[in-house]
Amino acid sequence: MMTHLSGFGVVLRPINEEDLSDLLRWRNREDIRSMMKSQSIISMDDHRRWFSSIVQLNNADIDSKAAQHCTSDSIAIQSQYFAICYKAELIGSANITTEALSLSKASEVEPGLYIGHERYRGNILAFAPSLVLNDYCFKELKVKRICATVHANNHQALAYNAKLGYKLSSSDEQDSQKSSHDHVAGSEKHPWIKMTLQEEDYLRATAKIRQFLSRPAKKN
Amino acid sequence: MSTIEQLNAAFVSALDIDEKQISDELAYNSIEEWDSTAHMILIAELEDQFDIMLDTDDIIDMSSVAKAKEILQKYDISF
Repeated sequence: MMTHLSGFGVVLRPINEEDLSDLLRWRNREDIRSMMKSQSIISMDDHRRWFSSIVQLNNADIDSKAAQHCTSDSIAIQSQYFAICYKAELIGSANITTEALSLSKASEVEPGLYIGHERYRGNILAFAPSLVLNDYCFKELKVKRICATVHANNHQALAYNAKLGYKLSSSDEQDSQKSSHDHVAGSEKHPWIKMTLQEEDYLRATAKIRQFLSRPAKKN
Repeated sequence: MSTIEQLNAAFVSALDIDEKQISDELAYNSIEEWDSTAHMILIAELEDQFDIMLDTDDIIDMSSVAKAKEILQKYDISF
């Protein structure tokens, strides 16, 4: 069964049909999709087809073959997709994928996350779903590292990842040294930056923010 | 020191900005100095200045100077 994750004030639950319209509207917004690997506008029909495929994932165990999402070139990729909720309201979407046979056997996963709700974009709450998702990856899935691919122009995400403890991946550090000017200028030649997160760096970098986002709610 | 002076002092100290930069419209992430780390320092400064403890919802909601004033009023601090 699909995992429900919670902590730091947010809940990550399976995406349901009622979420589709908000998620599509947010996903297709220029400021959000322009930072994604796939930047094309998605139609509601395509969105529904994608949703049908993830419903199967949601109902499968992460070890089972049913949970494998087969792309057109037949590479099996394990994925989990979540709706991010704050105070029971949908505010965004998160996912993890691995190229390993199953998430439970993965040593490396790649996360994807966006906050679409206007009120919480650029808000400190944006850290909460990452903390929940990363804790899940390190503690439950026991992955060794989390690898993110960030658009070189997405300065906010680069800074956000650095606050979470991510470091530039070594191979890309060389790339970015070779083309540091291009990165600064946002050249199309090297538009993506790979960053890697190790558990030790993650726990050290997020110690303070965890404290702030896990204070008990005030009793009224 | 008045409460507005205390508020401004907290912002100046936490964000390391000039007092002239403080206005109701100043918002989290709108300037380089007000990032997540500075936000946490700001919370600690406000709690210290006003001898209160903010809860998580208020820490999340405190997305601008105007919002900070609004939230602090819930803790019986008037401006």
